[in-house]
Amino acid sequence: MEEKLIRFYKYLALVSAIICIAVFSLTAAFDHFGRPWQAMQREYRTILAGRAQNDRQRAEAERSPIEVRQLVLPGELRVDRCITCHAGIENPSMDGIRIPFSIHSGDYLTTHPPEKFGCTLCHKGQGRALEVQDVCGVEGHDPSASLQYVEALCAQCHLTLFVNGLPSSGTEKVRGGLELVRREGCLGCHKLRGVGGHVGPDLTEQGRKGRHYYSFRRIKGDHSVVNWHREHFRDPGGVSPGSSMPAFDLPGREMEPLITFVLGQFSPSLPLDYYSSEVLQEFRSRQSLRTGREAYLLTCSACHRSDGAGRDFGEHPYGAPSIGNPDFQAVASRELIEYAIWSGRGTSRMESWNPILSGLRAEELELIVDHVRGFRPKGPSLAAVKEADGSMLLGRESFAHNCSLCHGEAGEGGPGPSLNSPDFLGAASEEFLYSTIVIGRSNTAMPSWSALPPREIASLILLLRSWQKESRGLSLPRIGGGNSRRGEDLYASRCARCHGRFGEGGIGPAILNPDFLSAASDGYIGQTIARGRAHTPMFGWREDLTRAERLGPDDLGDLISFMRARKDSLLDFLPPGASTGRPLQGRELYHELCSTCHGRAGEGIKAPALNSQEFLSGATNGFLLATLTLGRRGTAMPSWGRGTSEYRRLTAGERLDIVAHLRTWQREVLRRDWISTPEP
Amino acid sequence: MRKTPARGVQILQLSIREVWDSATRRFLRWREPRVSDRERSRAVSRSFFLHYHASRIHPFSLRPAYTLGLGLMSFFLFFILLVTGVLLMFYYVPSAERAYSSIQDITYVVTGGRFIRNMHRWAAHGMVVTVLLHMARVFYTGSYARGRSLNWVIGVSLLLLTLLLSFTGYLLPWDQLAFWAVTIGTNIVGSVREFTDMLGTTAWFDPGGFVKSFLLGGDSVGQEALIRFYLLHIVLLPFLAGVLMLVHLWRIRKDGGLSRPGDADEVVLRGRGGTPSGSGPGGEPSILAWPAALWAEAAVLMVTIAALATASFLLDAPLREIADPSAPENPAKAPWYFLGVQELVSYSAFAGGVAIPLLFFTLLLVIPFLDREKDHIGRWFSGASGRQVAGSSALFALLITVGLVGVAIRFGWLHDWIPGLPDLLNMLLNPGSCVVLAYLLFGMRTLRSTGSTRLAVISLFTSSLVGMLLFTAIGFWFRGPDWEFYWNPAQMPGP
Repeated sequence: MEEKLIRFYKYLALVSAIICIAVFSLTAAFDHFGRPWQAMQREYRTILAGRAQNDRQRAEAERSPIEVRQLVLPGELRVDRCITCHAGIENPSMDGIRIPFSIHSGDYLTTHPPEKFGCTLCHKGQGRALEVQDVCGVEGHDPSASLQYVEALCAQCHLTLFVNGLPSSGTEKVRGGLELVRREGCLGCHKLRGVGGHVGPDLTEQGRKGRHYYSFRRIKGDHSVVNWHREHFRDPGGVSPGSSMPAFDLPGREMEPLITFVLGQFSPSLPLDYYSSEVLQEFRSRQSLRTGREAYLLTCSACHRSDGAGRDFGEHPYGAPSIGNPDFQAVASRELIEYAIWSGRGTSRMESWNPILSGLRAEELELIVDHVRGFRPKGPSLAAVKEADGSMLLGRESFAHNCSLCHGEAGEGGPGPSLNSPDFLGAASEEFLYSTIVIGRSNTAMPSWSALPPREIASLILLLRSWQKESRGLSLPRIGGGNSRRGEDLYASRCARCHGRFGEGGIGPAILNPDFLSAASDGYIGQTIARGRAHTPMFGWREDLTRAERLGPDDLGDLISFMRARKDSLLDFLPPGASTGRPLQGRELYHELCSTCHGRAGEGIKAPALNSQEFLSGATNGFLLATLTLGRRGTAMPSWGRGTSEYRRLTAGERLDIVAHLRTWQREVLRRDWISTPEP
Repeated sequence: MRKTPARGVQILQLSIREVWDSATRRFLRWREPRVSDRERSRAVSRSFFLHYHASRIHPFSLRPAYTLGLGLMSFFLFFILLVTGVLLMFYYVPSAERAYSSIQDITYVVTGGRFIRNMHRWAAHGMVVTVLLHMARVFYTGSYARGRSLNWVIGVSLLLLTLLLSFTGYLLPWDQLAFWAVTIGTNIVGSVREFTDMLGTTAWFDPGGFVKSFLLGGDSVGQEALIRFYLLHIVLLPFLAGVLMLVHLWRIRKDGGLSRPGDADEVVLRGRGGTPSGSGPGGEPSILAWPAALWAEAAVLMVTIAALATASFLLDAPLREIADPSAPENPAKAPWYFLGVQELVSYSAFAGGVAIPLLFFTLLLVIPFLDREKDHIGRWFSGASGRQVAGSSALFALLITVGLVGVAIRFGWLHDWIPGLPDLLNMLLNPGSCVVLAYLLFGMRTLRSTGSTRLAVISLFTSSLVGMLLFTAIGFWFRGPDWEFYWNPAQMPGP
């Protein structure tokens, strides 16, 4: 029995030993002689010998050793063995041969010597590997390593966002991507190199993120980073549930450059001498943007669109107001725009763009404010209005449609001052009327009617003049310089009770309003104070009072010099202004008419939120009244002063009530802090 | 003057002849005309490398179907691991920055590097498998009884060392697979802290935290962990394992050779046809170790190397992307031999990570002392009743494990049905420990119904083995991202 067993074991050992020898020999043979790179080098040697121009070259070629060749970058940064197979990349005589033997395309190797740059810094892959399947991506082929996206790696060292630092050739794709970013306003939600919003992730290092950073659960195509971006741009909510990113369904010729751009986002991690000085400078301290349009497009246009058209609140979860809308521009003051940008709206959609948070600088924010302000039409010049041929018919039509909503059907006044008073018309010059109509009174309910054609404005002035009857002449002595401190006391004791503590208006108009002060001459002010306005609470301070309370010419001079000194407001907040409405009645009206879109507590459903402290601090009662009265053409906000087929017309009193109700939501007054914000 | 050169040449010729004769006759025994039994005996006992064998062995030990050569395979795999490991050490650099590149260089550039690395990897996995199978073989043939209990304990310790060796080596490539597997493993070890937290003693008694920071040299897997794992893997653990293996082999001799049944002599004599061809001191049949045992060992060695070489030629050891501590794999899975534990951990960190494995190992260690019977040694399953018990325990384990786990996955468990349940009860009554409890109860029932400790122990061992296999299979195939259960693995979302 033992002999059988021993024989069995002997045979087993022999057979296994033969298998071992076979496997070991095969392995040894393959590893020593059968490696693909050796075959490559032999073929290369043949080609080289074939292209040799003389015997010496041929002999040299035939003698070249078959060995592993590698580039060890300075500081042992990387080891790239690509030149083992790609032996001809620096050999000019290899022009026109097929890959992998051919010379490297273009003149990239003169500017990027292989001893310093290697291969994988630009072409990705595992430089230490010697066979194709090991080189190209660790787990399967990675499309982002293909030549199609190679410019992403040029971007690594060359891309500057805020200046034009890209080399002129060989960077078309990444430049195209940059243009798209500048056009589509990606920095509205994402940060790049310290600038941008917080809604989406910071993309500064996106190029460094491999597949592990992405979730491919809802990706339908192939599971590569490139395809993830493609599908994500087309349907962000589908790929990342809960995302508030709008869809960018771009055609291929725009999508691929944008993907290349995103893949090319890196912050410097190689030794600094690899980077262009512009890139290093940008990471250290970038250059400011130079135009408001640039800054606006880069950060605002994703939500507000390049023309300020905004996104429909009803359709999109990321609705944005249409800030280019003519009706908005007519009633919005510069302060409102500044508040909106600097404080945001306290929501994640519209964040504060304060330099500390956004990385933008104060001067860039001012440029953006200027640009947004620039959406307002300029309005015709005084000369154009004077030349225009106004007609009473047009004037009456226009007045009824536009002005009567606040100034009364016959100009007798309402929320707005009376316009048919002879005292007023007697004091007001053409320039004054023109300025008031075309510029308006910012932060009050008087919009800027700059969108009206000159003929219409001329017609309105004509109409107003038609109400002018004989006015009592009043000769005023020259009102020279006065003591503005004394004027301040006078104002506080006599005027503030009607005109507001800060001159923002109340029972009387806002007389410390900068637009008013620019439009009104000293004579106009002096006449109005002295004579008053018949049939209004404004009595003549010179004429209608007893001697003791009368204001003399010195007093007038003091008041006027005080008012002139107050042209630049020193306040760090915006006084809400006149409010004569009744909040409780306003609440009823609001719930009936406004809450479907704006929410019962003003939180905003299909329309902007009205209850944010940021909004209420920047929006005066005048702005609210004017918005209610005129609406926003082209959006879902109707003109409540005019009424529509769907919505009834609201009287001035009702509108004032709603404004008063909105004002009850204000709990705090945010201060303008951008005067002293430090530079980041 | 002719004599001096001739004398010199003569001496040279004589010396060469002496060396040649010594080498071929004595060392290689090539040209020896006839070798007597005494010569053979001396060859074994006088050689340093061979004297571990007794010079005579019982013929029963040669039977392949008895031991399946598993112990030898484990030992040879260990030896191959030593050799290939030393070869790899020529190029491997245990630094977090350079480890991955050194593995890349070994795989892609070093001649034979890919092959040697593959051999090392597959031998490691193979050794875990053969060690487990060897343990099963020793258990089912009852070869832990009759004074072999010490060897059994040494064997269980060797199992532990094998697992630790494999685990410490797993980290060294420093790729995503390695990094996260070891993170999981060390977290499982640290889960003792969950228990001490519950008792409130963590502040002054924190073995979980201690062992974890001992292994990691810090709070998380990093350069310190790599150096420690490297040290454990190439010095401490191989040394301990080697010493224990030598004791393990020596004990075989001291315990009277490989185990065999009581009627081994008759079996052998029947096989021989009644004629004795050799007998030992007590009259039992015995044959010389040389050449029988050595051919048997040579065969096992060659089969092992052949299988390993073929596997290494055809299959490459995995190498994923370089480890990225900020990009966890999802799911991050422990090495396959710990996947069963990881699955249990997903029910309860402490119970699954510490309590149950400890219980399992303790039971393993004390099996020779639980089983009070002495007569069943040397027979697979100790006869028909043993086979029956093993079969029914396996079936029971399959049903109860699949059943309880299925219920837990489909309908939830106590912590879903009774939200207010205290943490301690949730920990004690999690699906894993309920399954283990079921095995224990079944074992006790076997004891009560059969009255045999051997059968009870067979029941416990079999059900635990089947249970472990099932949990490993679940963890391997059916768990996807976030450790969610997928009834159909093909539906698992992509990487």
